[in-house]
Amino acid sequence: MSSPFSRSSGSITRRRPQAFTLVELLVIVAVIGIVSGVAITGMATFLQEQKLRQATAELASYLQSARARAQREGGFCQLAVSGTQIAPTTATDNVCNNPPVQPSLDLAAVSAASGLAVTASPSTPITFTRLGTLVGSTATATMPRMITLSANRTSLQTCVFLDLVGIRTGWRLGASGACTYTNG
Amino acid sequence: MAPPPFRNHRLRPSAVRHGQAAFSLVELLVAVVLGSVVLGALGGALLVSEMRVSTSIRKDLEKKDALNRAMALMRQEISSAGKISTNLPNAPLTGPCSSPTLYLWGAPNTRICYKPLRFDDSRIRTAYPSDRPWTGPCVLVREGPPYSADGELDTAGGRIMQVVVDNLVDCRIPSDAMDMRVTSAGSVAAQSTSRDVDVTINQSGGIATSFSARIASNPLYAGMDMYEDTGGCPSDGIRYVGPNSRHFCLPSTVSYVNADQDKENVFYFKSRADAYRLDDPLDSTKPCSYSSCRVWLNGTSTWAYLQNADVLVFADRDLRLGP
Repeated sequence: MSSPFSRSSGSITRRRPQAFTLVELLVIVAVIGIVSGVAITGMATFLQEQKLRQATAELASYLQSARARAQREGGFCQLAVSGTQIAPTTATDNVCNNPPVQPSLDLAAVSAASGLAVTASPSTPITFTRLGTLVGSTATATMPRMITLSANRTSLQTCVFLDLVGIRTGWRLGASGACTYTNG
Repeated sequence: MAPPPFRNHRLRPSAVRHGQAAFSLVELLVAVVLGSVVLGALGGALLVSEMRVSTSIRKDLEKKDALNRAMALMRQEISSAGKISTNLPNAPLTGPCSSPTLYLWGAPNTRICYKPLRFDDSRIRTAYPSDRPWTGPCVLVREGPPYSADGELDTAGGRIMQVVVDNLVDCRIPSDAMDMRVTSAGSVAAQSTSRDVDVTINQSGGIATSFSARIASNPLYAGMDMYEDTGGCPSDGIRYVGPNSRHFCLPSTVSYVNADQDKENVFYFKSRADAYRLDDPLDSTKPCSYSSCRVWLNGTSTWAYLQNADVLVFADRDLRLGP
């Protein structure tokens, strides 16, 4: 009885507390892989949604600066959405198209959101007056104006709402229905 | 019998040999997982909280921006108004403009009103069938013509209703939410009219904003409201005869008006003075006078020959004619 290990316990009894079997390790690796996969997918969606939010903030900021320019220069500023770009139109006397021309904004480029789509409703140009008011009428459905942004890998859509005096941003899940505008 | 050297078979021999306790891999993994969950939850909560604060700040800025713009618009519209009525209990117009808190008079198709409504009012739902980003309990609506690209009122566009400020405390008129006080007329009674108003807007959260605004147009012109009335001007041009004055509104055709000298004769024109040219019809090098005055519209076409005209009232100023 000089050996610390009893003969009856055998080699397997000796090794069990010291190491995992290959199967156990494979299971652990698989579990870690699955958890990481889920986490990375979730993170990718989160990052995509963040890019969408960034594009929305950029768009709202662009609209605000166009409106400020109309007020500053005492004329109207007219913008049109085309693809993922928003830019001044070539309308006569459009102050945003006077030198220095208001640079166009490519939302796909500034946000790097993949599959970004921008939809303006109605699709006619957006015009701010010298008073900073938006041109349009609730009677002809040209007021308020909505610009919605969507991207790949997420059902989140963001919305920019333009009214007579306000520009507000919100979101919705899916391509239809009203957007939610969180209260401050 | 000597005790077995390894009482805890889970401990590695080397650890026990050195008299130290140690964790097994499973214990470590469990600890790591638990630690990750706790740290993840904390980090997530922090991130969510940070995002909420950031969203809240942005929404707040959006609301303040809209409020500032609404006030600038009201100031502008008050400044351009012919006259102002406040807290009218009766309906000067149908629809949302019945019982307006602030009513801005001008030519009939340029009249504008502001009044608070409940944010879920059916008229708001009709005007905004889809998205309504405003918060209640009340919102301030503007009813009047929309704006065209040149910044002027689009009088052909009909009257529309638009929400300009949200988050108002109260919808009653007069109310804490939307309290328009007449300052220069010395009266706070209902149906009072003035050229000078204070506007206070009380929003939820104890936020109160106020501003003063004043009509910029000619007081005489604004007070009489004689121009471009709905029924057109009478053929003799006499719209109103007071005890000491006679007020004329000129038809669109060329007029010859020889007013009696017994009263002060006041003539109203719908545009600013620089839209007209005035001279003496007997000698175009001489200025317009009380006894003889010719009015050219846009400097090109003769519009009116006036005799015994005391005062010409334009949208921006009035002119008392010399003898």
